[in-house]
Amino acid sequence: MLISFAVENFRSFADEQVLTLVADKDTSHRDHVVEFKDFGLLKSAVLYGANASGKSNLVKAVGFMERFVVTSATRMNLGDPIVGAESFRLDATRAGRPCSFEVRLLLDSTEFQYGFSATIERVYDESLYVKRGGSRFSNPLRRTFDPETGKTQWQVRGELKEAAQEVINKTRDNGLFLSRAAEMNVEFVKDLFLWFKSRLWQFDLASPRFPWNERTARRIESDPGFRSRVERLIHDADFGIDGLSATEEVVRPPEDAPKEVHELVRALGKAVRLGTPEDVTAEVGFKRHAVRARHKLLDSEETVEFPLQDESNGTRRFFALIGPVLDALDKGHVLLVDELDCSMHPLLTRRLIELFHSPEANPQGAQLVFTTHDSTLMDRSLFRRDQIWITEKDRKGATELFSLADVRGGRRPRKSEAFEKNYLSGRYGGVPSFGPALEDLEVR
Amino acid sequence: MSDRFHANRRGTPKRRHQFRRLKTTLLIVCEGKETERNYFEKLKRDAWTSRHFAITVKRGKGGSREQIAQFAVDRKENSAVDFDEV
Repeated sequence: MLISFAVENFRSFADEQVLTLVADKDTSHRDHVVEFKDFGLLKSAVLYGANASGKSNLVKAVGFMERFVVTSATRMNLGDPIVGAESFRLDATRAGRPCSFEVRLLLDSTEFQYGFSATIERVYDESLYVKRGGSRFSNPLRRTFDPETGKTQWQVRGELKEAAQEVINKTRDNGLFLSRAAEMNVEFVKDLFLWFKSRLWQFDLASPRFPWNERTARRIESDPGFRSRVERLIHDADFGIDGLSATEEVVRPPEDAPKEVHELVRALGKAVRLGTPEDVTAEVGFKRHAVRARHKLLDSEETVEFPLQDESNGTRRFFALIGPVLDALDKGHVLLVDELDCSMHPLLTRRLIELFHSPEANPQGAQLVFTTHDSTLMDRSLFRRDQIWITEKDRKGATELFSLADVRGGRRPRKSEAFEKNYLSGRYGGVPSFGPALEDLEVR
Repeated sequence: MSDRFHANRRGTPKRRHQFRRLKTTLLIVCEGKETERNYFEKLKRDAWTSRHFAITVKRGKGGSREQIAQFAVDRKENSAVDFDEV
């Protein structure tokens, strides 16, 4: 499970900001917390904030960390830029300095604290702390780049020592030790690497590029049991759909298409391959799944099938989301979703969140972290104070991240605190502060 | 910078102490002059003020004090914002 995520000097983040899923002393909704010996971890967290306050950048930060860990050894080469390592730009002392990321995790009974810092050119620091069971933290890896001398110092201890020299020799300046060690099959880093690779899912539900259908579609095609679970959820979500099917198809340009079109598809194939290799056969075109939804005909037992593209936005988003959600619930994954409410009814979004809170639906400690503008979800019946987070720009234009549990009460008693009303009134911050044009509606 | 990673923060995971306060919501209705409104707009965005107050600045429709006060009361009652002070 995810304990916390810290980010510094990345896009709208300047000073370090930390999202933590550690539960505070709040005694409400105890079933939203998975208890461990010394602390409890929350099963979900929601992020609110005005437009351009940095909500999405938090999701992007996790996405960057994930992508760089997974790809830095295998899909990058000497001299390649570290795409996405973008520092905070409104402060000259930070621009071009490394951005840093750190994640703290509990996998089985082992706690990992792993982080790195990097500019677009190179990795500066990389560090790993590990705590197994009841023992103390050890620091098996510590890498520090000194810009004065241009040298990187390595300290490797304990279980990593044996494999270390070979891994270090093969770690590029623009790559991570973790990625290289995983590529070289070093046992010690497997769980950590695989968490990034397959147990952490991050996506933007509002993105116009929306390939996420594939995740659900592929599972539906290969696993009938999974398909009937998805069918039942989609049916019961009241979309008017009675069944689903998915078949693989290859999209290629017609034989007589101009040469340029074939070249473009080849180029696209190569580009997309960087993201999801299994979706592309680079030379011939794209593999994807055609999904069809079955509807009952009026006053008849007969059905008619529509391609998924013809369904409503909400239906398609729900479909895209539900595969990863079920996977997460089954296997205890961490799901980060930007704009979870996108096109979906607030009552439906609420049910999705409740799936994660339910001990029966979520027995493995899956976690959902998402951003939204839907303030109706800011509700005591759905969340604890420590699950609700807000982003707000400070006077330098940098994102500050805090939860309602970080806010000391004012004159009102805490117990009756109405989250949504307080939020929309601006008591917590994180709402837009309009100028005269919008406050007095002066548009002429 | 690099010390961050190597600093000792490896105790039991904990939450921070509460470091923010609930803001007081404030509705300010001005007499309709630009200078007045500009002053409050500045005040609203001041670093200290904005940490402690959530201020809404409205331009009144002019008229007597009573009319402005009435306008302010109307605004307070017909607003999504729950104002502590007017």
